[in-house]
Order: sequence, then C-alpha cells, then structure tokens
Amino acid sequence: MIKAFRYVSFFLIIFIQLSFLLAIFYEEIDTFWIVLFIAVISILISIGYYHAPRAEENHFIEDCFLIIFVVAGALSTYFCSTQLNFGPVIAASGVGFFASFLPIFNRKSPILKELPEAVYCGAFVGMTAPKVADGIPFILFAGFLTGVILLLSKNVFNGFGGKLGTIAFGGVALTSLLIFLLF
Amino acid sequence: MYTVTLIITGILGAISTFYLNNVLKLGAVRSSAGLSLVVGLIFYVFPNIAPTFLTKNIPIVFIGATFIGMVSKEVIAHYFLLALAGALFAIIYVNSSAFFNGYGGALGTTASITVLVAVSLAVVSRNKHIEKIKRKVRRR
Repeated sequence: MIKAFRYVSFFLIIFIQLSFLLAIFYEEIDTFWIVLFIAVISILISIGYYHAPRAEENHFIEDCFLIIFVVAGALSTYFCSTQLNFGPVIAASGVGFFASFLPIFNRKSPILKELPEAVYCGAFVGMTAPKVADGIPFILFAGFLTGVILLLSKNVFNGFGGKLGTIAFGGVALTSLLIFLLF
Repeated sequence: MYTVTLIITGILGAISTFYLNNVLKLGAVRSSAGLSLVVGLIFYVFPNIAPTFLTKNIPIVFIGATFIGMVSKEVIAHYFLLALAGALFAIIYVNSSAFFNGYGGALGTTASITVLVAVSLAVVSRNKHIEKIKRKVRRR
C-alpha cells in the first residue's frame, strides 16, 4: 500500500513539474533559445528523477495531523499577506520562521518535529494571489489537498530543495482545476 | 542589468540558505524563512532602496532561491552546483509562464526543477566518458 502511494506521489510530482515547464514551452514557442533551454532542462531533470533518493517510512495514518498543520500554515499566511497587507514573501517567511521555533517546546515530540515543514508547505499555499484564490474556502481546500499530497509523498524526494513548494503548487493547481471543471 | 541583479540574488539566496542549513545546522525551514524574512522586511521598510522592478522582484527571487538552499548536502554537496541552480532559477523566473502567475508553490516548483538539473549535472560530470574528456583537457 505504502509502495503504491510512493509511486503515485512520485509521478504526481513529476507531472506537476513537467506541466510547469510545458506552460513556459507553449508561451515561448516562437523563441528558439527558450525552447532549446526548456528541452535541455527536461532531459536533465529526467536524469535527476532517476537518481532521486527514495526513503522507506511505514508511518502513514499517524501522520494525518500534518494536514491540519498545512491548512493552519496556509490560512495564517493568506491572512497576513492579504488582510494585513504584508505581501506573500514576508507573510510566508514570517509564518515559517515562527513555526521553526515551535519544536523547542518539546524536543522529544515526533509531532512537533514535523510541524515546521508542514506549516512552511502550507505557507506556500497561502502565498497564492487573491486573483487566483477566491477567498478563504479556496485556501482551506487547497491547504487540505496539499496536506494529503504531502502525506502521500513522505517517501519521495526527501532532502530535495523545492519539494514542499512543488506539493503546494500541486494543491493550488488541482483546486483551481476542480473549480474550473465544477463551477 | 535587472536580469543580472536577479541572477546574483538567486545565487546568494541558494548559497546563504545552504550554509545556514548544512554548516550552521539551523534547519532547512528556519534558514530559508529567516533569510527571506530579513530580505522581505528590508524592501518593505525601504521601498525606494532600488528601482520598482527590483524592489518587487528581489524578495520573490530570493525566497524562491532559498528553497534551493534547503537541499540536504547528501543530495548536492558543491557550492558551484548550488550557484548554478540559483542562477538557473532566476533565468526561469524571468521567463516563467504568465499562466501560473499568482499560484502558490510556483517558486518551489521552479526551485525543485533547478535542483534536479543540478543533481543530473553532478551525475553526468561523474560519468566515465566525461571524466576521460576532463583528463584530456587537463593534460593539454
């Protein structure tokens, strides 16, 4: 079961990254150098996927609390960014910086140990601009989806910079797609 | 000139975060968030410190590049590859799709793409054939 989740999340992350590159490719299709640049990058990241480290962890249901942390990070960042007008960078980094100190309260707690990463992942969801995120329900749902993807991808791309952001992007893009299809 | 400034920002963001994370052992989240908060606050408090384009984009490129620096030293161990990933990040950011503009996590996705490119370059450079070419070049 865990192996199946690992495969699903691995290919989901690959799909998110390739969609991102494909969007640039389509927009800049008339610019030869950018198309060539994207093609070279696509070949190189294919090699990178092959050499990506894979960890084996059997925790799954125990980690469901991660979803709550992701949603909390997303909502607090969105609030600081749009309501307090700090902008996405200060809001996300402020929330992440604050969350990074929370494990100090109980260093032995396995829940608090995983909190900063989950909150920071949620903070990236909260960085979504108001023109994309149509209010708090959007962020709430995108945060939930991001939490689920984070949970599924615990065993892939560990230690890779940008993993949390890719997962957040997946949550936000999937929410937008669902809204587009359903409403 | 603005693009060069953003490339330098990308390189600095990636390397400084990696240093705080892996050398000073502050942890990936605190290193990335702490540095981004400082840069973000500087441009928030002093908005006229640079031209409007840079005031708007430097904090965004910096926080995006810090995601590269969150990489563990087991994945990327060379500062050169980090700098390359940081520069690549800024180049992709400048040419990034307007379609995903405003989407949370777009910076992280760009960062993960550049980290994968850096990892693959490290793998390719260790390839036997590439090693042979390197040795030939050194002999000359």
